[in-house]
Amino acid sequence: MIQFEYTITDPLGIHARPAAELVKTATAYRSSISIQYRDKEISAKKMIALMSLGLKQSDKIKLSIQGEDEIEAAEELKHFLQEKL
Amino acid sequence: MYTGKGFGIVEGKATGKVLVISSCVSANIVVENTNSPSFELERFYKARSEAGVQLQNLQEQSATSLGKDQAAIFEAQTMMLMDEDFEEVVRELIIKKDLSAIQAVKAGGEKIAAIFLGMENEQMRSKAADIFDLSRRLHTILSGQSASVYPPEEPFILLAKDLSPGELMQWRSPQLQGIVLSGGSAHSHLAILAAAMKLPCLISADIESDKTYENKILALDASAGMFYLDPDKALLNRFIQEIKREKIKKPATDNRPFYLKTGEEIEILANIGSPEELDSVLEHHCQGIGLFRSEFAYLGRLDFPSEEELFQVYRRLALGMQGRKVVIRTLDIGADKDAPCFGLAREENPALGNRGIRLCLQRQDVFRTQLRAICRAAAFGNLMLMVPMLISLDELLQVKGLLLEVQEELRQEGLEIPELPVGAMIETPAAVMLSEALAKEAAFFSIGSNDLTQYTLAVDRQNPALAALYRQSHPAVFRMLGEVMRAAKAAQIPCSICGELAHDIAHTRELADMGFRSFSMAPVFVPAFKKYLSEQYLQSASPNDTI
Repeated sequence: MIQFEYTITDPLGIHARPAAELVKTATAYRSSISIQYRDKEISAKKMIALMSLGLKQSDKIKLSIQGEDEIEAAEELKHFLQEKL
Repeated sequence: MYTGKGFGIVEGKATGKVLVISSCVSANIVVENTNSPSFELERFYKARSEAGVQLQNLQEQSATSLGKDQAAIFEAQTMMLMDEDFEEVVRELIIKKDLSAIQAVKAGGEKIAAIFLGMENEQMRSKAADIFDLSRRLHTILSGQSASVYPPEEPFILLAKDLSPGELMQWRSPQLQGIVLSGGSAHSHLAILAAAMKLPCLISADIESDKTYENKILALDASAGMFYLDPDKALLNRFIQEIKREKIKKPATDNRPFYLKTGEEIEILANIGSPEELDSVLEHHCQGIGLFRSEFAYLGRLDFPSEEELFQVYRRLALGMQGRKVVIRTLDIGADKDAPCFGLAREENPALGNRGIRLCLQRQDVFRTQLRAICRAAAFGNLMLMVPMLISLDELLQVKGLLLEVQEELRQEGLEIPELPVGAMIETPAAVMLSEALAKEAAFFSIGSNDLTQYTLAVDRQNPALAALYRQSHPAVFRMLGEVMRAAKAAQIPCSICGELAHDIAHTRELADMGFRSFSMAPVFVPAFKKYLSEQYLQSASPNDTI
């Protein structure tokens, strides 16, 4: 399992369009991918759940990735977050 | 004739028959017998795949005709439609609560939308609209209503409380002329689409989306924030003529500069109400934004926009204009605008009420947030500040004082804050009479001829019975303009004009003779204005070969 933390820098937080991109990126992998924010943990492959976290700028999230392609998944997700969020 | 007001988020004029769109989810719940849960489940899945196909089509259509960003709106909706949690909620309602597929998509949609509506952040709350849109789409498919709805064959204007991007795409046709919404939000995806389609669009309009208005003629002037239901013949003809003139567009708008005989360049600036209009400003080769109405971010919402949110808007303008000037008019809100966040009481006479800079100086907490956002964004381009509704020098000095405080505060926080020129909007007779004194403190003047005419002539510009009296070319108004120009020249500050008079080619020559060199207008008027300049004594060429 790979885990890493990320702090949202996008001033608009995670809104619909980047959320869709994030879910799309996550569902391309077989590994299970979860996002933890405060006391909630959701699957990064679920759009509504992701949006319902209501993530804003400077919120800190923790990603946990587990499965056969976890290394590649972690790599791409990290890159995606840094570029887009 | 009924005259109403609203806030234009995409400028321009339009006329057409009203088509009332009422959202059917709450309006008519089809009562039906519930079949077995497995049958209803199957109906749900079928409807879901059909909705998926519809959204896929919308996505492709908007990708080819509008652009990638617009298409992404529908992609996000598809993902919500196919979302496992949504499916789970609907399944449970069908299996455990014995609901029909129709009832389940409605209840399920409400349940999920409630999560978003409960959030503190306006941006997140607006996501509920996406969910309602999905459940409406499924409802329509399940009740078999959709197939027979086609856009009318004659020019029409959509009237609704609010519209989803999907609904707008559904009604998209060459006959669609404009949009009037009694609700609407600046954060909606609709604003992005309407701007991309160049559809004049009014939000927060004071009219109900009532079926009785259907098929009535509506004349919409989004640039002035006005609409006329059942307009009289004269007004309708004037609109039709003006729209025709607006449409005289060459394939690419003239990007040559225009000069006077004296060699002085004529400056053409844009009036806009939302950052979504940036593209049309650039497309029309405007030399800058002469009036950015900053109200849009405050309308229709219960909380005030955050500094960060405003900063993003202003930064986008600054960057988008690539160093060309952007004049941001500070918040100009009064009791006649739909801004529940201010909790303003109804006023007998809002045109003379607590509005513009008066309100801002009373609500300095709100005003400071706007000033901070503008100051921070100023580092990314050429921003200027313009103060509306001034009646005294003291008001201008107060604003400049506040601005200095805010700039100092930001510098203490370690930010580099560039100078920000502060100009005065001249739109009250008081400001005209004091223009000499104001010119010593203002970095520039801009004349708002719409309000200046109304206040000078004591003619309510919304009263249809007085339409003939409301003339911006009235000699009294021109005397006012002359006075302001004289004061500006004496103090050697620039003076532009940004009301309707700015694009009225019947008076351009006279204004140029008076000394006006800078004209700010809605982008749609630019082609006709440039055409006039190129045909008239104002020659378009290098200064050397002018007459």
